[in-house]
Amino acid sequence: MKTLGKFLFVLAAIAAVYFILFQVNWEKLFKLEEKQERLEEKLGKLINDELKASYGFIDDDSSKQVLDSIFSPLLEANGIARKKYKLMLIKDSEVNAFALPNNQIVLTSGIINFLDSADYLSAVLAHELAHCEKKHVMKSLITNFGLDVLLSGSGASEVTNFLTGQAFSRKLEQEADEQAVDYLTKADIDPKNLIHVMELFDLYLTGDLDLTWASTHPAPKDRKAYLQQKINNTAVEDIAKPSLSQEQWEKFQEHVEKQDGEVD
Amino acid sequence: MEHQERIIAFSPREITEDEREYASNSYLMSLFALFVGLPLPIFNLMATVIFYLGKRKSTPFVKWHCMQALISQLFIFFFNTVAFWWTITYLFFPERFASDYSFNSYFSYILLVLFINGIEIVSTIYTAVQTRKGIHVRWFLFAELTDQILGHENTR
Ligand SMILES: [Zn+2]
Repeated sequence: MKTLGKFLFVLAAIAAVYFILFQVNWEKLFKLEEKQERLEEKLGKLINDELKASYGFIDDDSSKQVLDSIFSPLLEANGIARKKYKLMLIKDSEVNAFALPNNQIVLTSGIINFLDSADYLSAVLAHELAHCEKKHVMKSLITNFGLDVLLSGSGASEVTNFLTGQAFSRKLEQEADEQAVDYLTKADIDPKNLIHVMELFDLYLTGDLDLTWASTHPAPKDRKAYLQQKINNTAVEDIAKPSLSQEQWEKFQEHVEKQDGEVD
Repeated sequence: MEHQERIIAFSPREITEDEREYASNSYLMSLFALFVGLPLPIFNLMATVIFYLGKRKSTPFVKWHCMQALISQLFIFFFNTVAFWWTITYLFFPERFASDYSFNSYFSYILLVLFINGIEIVSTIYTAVQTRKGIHVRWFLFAELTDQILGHENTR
């Protein structure tokens, strides 16, 4: 028994050493992360070019300004530099929003028309921001295509298709939704807006609108359920007034619709 | 405390010059095998087994130390083998290590194995030096295992 005790002690000691070693982020230490960042930058540019070739962009000053007034407070409140992110609006009737490598978020004119208020857009942006900040984009790209394919730079259109019709795992989506609640709360925006967005998607789910954002995500009802739970566990303090009045939002929607109709 | 009776007590004065050399050599052998066998761990285990078999008919002191060296080799063999094959997978399927988690589990394990091998190397050198002087060195855990495997033969 004494020998067995010593044996177990040795095994326990080894396990403990392993556990301690595991706490260190070796990957970061080895600058592997830096390599991935460079890859991410390269991919971001590649996919951006792909998008530019297939979609028209709405990038006039007034649209940019409105989007910025909604996006910036979210970033600022969460200690994320505005410069780090690029927010783009493309002409597409699909109701969609997606994150691209290298901290780029793309909205469609379709989703601007679909969402009823600026706060709803904040909620969607918070979700996409979470995908970026949690590195979901690169993680799922690597698992789907493999590091080698991505490094070789081939298959840009497949990668773009994958990202626009982005289907992250359910686990990552839930993580992004829950993180979005935190982002919104910090920015003094009612996280319930995220639930309202789910309700809105649920309402139109059977209609003839192209709700890409709903079809690439878990069912709105399911998301609503875990979001409710997360919000119940979150201390929501004061809610600031919307960054954009309802009137301003509707004006922006009209503006986007008008731009959408124009041919480049 | 029944094991206590089985523990072999060697006093330096009773150990001949030849015995000291053989016992000490068993550690040098295992050290050498460890370095040679680092790429493919089965080699160091084999080398120590062969050395042990060669000294099977030797005196209790020599036999005991060959056995202690052998058992510690066997122990370390399992860790090194896992490290070896894990590294092979890493070289052939690098994409499996894309996530922070899998890279970290691999890298932490490699460090752990290096750490264990480091302890093994230091204690082997120390023991080789001591046994050369005829001083009996008992390792934690492995000495007891050695007693249990050889004990009853030696106390006879
Ligand atoms: Zn998502």
